[in-house]
Amino acid sequence: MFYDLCVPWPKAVTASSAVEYTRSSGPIPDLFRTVATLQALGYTTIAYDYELSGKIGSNITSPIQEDVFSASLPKVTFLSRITILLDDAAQSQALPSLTTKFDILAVRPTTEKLLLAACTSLDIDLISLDLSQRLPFYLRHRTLGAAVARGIKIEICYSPTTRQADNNARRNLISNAAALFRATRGKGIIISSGATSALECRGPYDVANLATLWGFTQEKGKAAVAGDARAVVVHARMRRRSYKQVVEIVVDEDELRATGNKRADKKELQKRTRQEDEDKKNEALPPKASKKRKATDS
Amino acid sequence: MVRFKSRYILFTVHYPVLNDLDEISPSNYSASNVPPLFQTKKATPLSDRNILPGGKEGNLGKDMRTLLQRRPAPDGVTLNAVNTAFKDSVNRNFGDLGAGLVRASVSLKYFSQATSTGIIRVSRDHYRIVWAALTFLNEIAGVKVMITVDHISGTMRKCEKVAISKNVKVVRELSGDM
Repeated sequence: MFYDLCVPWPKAVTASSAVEYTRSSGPIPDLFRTVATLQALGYTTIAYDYELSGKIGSNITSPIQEDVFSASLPKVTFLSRITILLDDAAQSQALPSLTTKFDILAVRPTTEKLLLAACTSLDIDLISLDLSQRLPFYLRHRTLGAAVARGIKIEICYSPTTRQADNNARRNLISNAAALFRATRGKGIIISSGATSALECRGPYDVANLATLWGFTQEKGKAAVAGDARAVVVHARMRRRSYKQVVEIVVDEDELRATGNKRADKKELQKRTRQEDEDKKNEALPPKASKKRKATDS
Repeated sequence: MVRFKSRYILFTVHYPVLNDLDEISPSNYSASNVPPLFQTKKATPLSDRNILPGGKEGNLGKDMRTLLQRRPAPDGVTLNAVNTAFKDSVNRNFGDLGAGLVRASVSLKYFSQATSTGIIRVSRDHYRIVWAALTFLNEIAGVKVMITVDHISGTMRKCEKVAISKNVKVVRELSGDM
């Protein structure tokens, strides 16, 4: 039950361009290779990430086609996600319109003020920071604690460590991840891949072990890839589908599967189908004829 | 008595971007120690597949999963190459301190070119260093690789058992596809 919530959707593939399954290389076969590798490693829910910067228009269409590989990889749940590079407070006004178009909303603040806004007031699911650069602000416990208390998780992408040859990025990532762990005491952090190629993917337990190098304990490391990541997906779903996260109207089975917790969903589905079967059976029975009356009639 | 405790790390080397699935040469492994399935199953190279979801390659997911997970090592990825590579990785990522901490106890106990599986022995106190070094490793003898750690245990026998059970599973899947 492992989650990878950041697989960058290739920029070259837009909503209008035909998704071509060309032979050799290209963004789609590369993406398929990445996703198939992740599935082989044991990830069951994968979110495609679309990065957006600058001014956000009100009629953005999602270029992500989540079910492009669903036939080939049937056991994986695919989600769509948007990461907004926040460098202007006005961008946050576009958030409500994006809720319906993407499953998960993430934000990448570039200044301390915007980080504070993201942690305390914005209606999002994830805060993603580019940890392979030196951050222009300090990570403080007060700010990040506010995010954790609201249920917003903070994301570490591990691909800079597995990407080839960039020593500086690797060191920055380790340093920032350790600082993040110190600031949040390990709560509310998820780890995802950010993998642009199949070579950058790593298995979930290997990722959890990397987390122990940054200061995590073994349980927190595993939670970062499994339990907490699931919490993000559930949080996102609740934000979209429920009223104040209290009441949810379930329309059909497909909606149920959004959490990715197959066992719980399957149980729920079995319960519902059993109930429906019973109802059908009760309807189909002919009205009970009283035996006594028949005897006296004939 | 204070016993010296060690950890045996069972790992598999994957080659997610290698395109030569058709060209596995029989010289890599002999008929005596490899089940016939590995020799006779010819897979079309990734580059020549038409990856259509739901089309005739709709079964591709399962096929790819097995093939991506287990394949014989290409030329160049030998026991010595793996040995040098992961020790280099410890040096590069953990410096003199890391290399020194594991130096006395680390050794590559087993590596099979037929299954790209290996077992490393490390002292229990520092096994995470070696584990992370394997995770950071992305190239062996010029071949781009990705390493997953399948099992870590205190005895070699458990690792062997897990390796065998995983191989049995792969063989079953491959024969199921045929």
